[in-house]
Amino acid sequence: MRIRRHPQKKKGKEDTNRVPISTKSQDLLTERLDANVKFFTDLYKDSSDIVFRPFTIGNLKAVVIYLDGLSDIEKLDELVLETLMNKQDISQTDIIQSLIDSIPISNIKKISTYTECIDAVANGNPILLLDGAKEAYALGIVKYEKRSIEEPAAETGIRGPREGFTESISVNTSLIRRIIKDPQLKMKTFHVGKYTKTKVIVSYMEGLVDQTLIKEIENRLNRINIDGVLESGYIEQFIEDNPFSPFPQVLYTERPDVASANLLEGRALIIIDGTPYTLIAPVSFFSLFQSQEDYYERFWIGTFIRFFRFIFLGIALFLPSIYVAITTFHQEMLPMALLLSVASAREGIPFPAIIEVLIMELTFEALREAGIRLPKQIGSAVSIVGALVIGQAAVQAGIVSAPMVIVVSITGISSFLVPRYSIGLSIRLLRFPIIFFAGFLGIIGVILALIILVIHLSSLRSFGVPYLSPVSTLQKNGLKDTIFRSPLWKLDFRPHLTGEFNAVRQSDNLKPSPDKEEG
Amino acid sequence: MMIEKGRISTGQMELLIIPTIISTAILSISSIDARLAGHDMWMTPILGSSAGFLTVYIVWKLHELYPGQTPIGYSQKLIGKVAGSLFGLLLILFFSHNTGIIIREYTGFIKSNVLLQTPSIVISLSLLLVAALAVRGGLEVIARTAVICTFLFLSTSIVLLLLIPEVELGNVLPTFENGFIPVLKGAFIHQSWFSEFFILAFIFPFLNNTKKGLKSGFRAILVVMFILCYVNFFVLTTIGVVAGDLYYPVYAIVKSISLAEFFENFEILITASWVLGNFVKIAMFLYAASLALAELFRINDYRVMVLPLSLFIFFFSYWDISNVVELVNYMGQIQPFYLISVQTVIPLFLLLIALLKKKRSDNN
Repeated sequence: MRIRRHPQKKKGKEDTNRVPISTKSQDLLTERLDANVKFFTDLYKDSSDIVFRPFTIGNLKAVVIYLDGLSDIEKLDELVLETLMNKQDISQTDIIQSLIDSIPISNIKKISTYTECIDAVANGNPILLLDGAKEAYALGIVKYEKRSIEEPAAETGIRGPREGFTESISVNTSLIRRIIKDPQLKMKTFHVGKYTKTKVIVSYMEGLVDQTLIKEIENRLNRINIDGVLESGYIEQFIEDNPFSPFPQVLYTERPDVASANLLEGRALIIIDGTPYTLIAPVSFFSLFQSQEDYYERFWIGTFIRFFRFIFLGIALFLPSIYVAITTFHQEMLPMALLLSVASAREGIPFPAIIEVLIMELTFEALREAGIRLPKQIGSAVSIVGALVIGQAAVQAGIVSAPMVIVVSITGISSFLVPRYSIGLSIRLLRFPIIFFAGFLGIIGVILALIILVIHLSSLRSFGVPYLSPVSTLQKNGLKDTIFRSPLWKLDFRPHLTGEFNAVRQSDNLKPSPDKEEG
Repeated sequence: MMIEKGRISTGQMELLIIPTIISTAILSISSIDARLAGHDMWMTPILGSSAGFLTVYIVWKLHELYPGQTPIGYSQKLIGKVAGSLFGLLLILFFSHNTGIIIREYTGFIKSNVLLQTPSIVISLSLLLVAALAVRGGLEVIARTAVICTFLFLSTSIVLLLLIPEVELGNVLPTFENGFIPVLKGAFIHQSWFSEFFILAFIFPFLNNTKKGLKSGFRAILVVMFILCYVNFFVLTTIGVVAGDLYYPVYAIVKSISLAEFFENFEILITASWVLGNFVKIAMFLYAASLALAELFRINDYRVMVLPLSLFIFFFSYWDISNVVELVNYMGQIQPFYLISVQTVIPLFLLLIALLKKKRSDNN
């Protein structure tokens, strides 16, 4: 297995003056409650959402510190404060342990450093400080407002589960655990981001995945040293193989079923807290053209739709440039009748075809972008303006020809056919250089652009896996599930990604047939 | 010394080598065939392929005797450092010259049929630079690119089937009108193309399954033979021996396709896909030349050789041949002797020396 390793950069000077802790001994909690509390009041000065609640148990002083809005206050009151404050008999020897044992909460963690206390508070676990104790106790009663599980917005489908990932990482992992019940499903936790300390989980099926892949993902994650991770895109852009490529080298999904399917095929997930998008690696070019419904519907349908997607990929990439090439260089290519109607439509258009295409394509891109960013109420106005003014008025005024409008609209629709938004963006971007190639060298330019594109895709790798595999590496079993979608009972082998792998997916001879004796 | 670190599969090798042979062959070989073999031109590729089988066998035997080495490496062991280096230099010059001629053919065809007003330099350089880009990526990248390019290139040959309504089988007769000699003459022309299978000597060491190399080389020859027969058959049965008067007979017959008055003008499609085939061919030759040059001068990275060599090849394409007439004469009269002597005869001598040496060392 060949994995290009990122060069280890020399680590910059650590920013140490965030928390007034520089040595390990200073980090330890002291036995004196007032010293501990003073540390926290200094640390959290000007933070109105931090709550300090001092109370006494008999004559033992205690303080609870928590973040308002992140912890379950009802439980804190009923289960912790009420239980502890009602204790009268505190003359035992092992007083602190017996007090903690009496709190009816399942998840109580003993912590002994300030850093751990800070992390616990930030994650919504109230900490309980007792006078005379060298340790604090993090109480696992986290509760905060979160979005409920909804239908995935960006990956809709007709058939299939309607649950989508949410912004909460524990919900997301539970959604996957609910599908894959085997203990071989592993989840390794990392924290990325100096200030956000975002929880990142690498998930994989042990035994199905290549361990070098997991190591490589861990290495690349550990290398990341940034202020914060706000979306999966932050992680994606730091772990790519070729950061200059216009193509996505990591897939993202908000569907637990897609994530689980990829786990079962020996890929790894990178689940990130705070975003419903989970990353999948490694990925190949052809997996960007697959949708979950290819597998849920009959295989004829799946195969047909996949063919369809590749045809429209070609249209989305090349139609405007082919139009430029034909109208500028190879008019003889069109059948006579079609040529006449195109020629008459183009008569009186003041621009050469390439300028015409660029005007229309740029306008279309602008309209599309405007439609996404604007508030919904204005969005409809934009589309009306676009359709009427750009479409009809421009043709009537003789600025652009009607065939041009048709070409641009077909191109636009084709680029929506790609099931993954990220590759759709790449296609949008690449269309423009190809138009220039066509403007310079006609159809030969288009072909040269195609070759350059294929060369680039051939040299691309995603975590060591060739981007164009399994087609251009000619793996027979892989071809069954790329351009075609063979029947599920024929997909006996997992896709071969890298190195040694666990090949057999299911027993063969699974083809359903009526019982022979009956027939 | 292993300069190339990538490994490719036998299937990828086949898809690399097929367009390397046929992409220039289909352009004008039918014209020469029609002139030399007349009504028997459909069978010339079958006889011509013998050179292919011979060349691949020679190269394979040499590869078995010296596994993991290119001709540059083992020629020095076989015939001494000086003579071996001279042979290596000859190979590099030969590859550069041959690639120059391929570029010339390509540019001449595109210039006279598709891009009438574009300067020839732009046409030659654009394809050459794209090929150089692929070669700089290494053998694996060339192979992966070739899989897709060859697939698209070969799939357009289906278009010829649309000519079935115009096929006149009578054109095939009479068989052996002037005896067997014309067929041999035509086959001799084909042999020069089939001898280009010699370039496999630069791929065999980099197969990930070295045992299947010979079989897959032979399979590639059969495919090439079949495609050339297929093309010659359609040329012969649609326009007959008149094809000898045309420079580009295949282009002419594709141009004549017209179905339902809408499915016509396939020549652009064919030309476009033919560019893909030519790209693979030029990339293959450029790769072999760069690898040989780097190995001869003991440079660890052949990538630095690619761009200077491309420029060199570009000059070759303008030095030697000045127009289409000369090109066709070259292909009919010089190329058969030239290509076969470098790519089949010299390797044959190398193999004989190698076998003699082996026998002597076995006796000792």
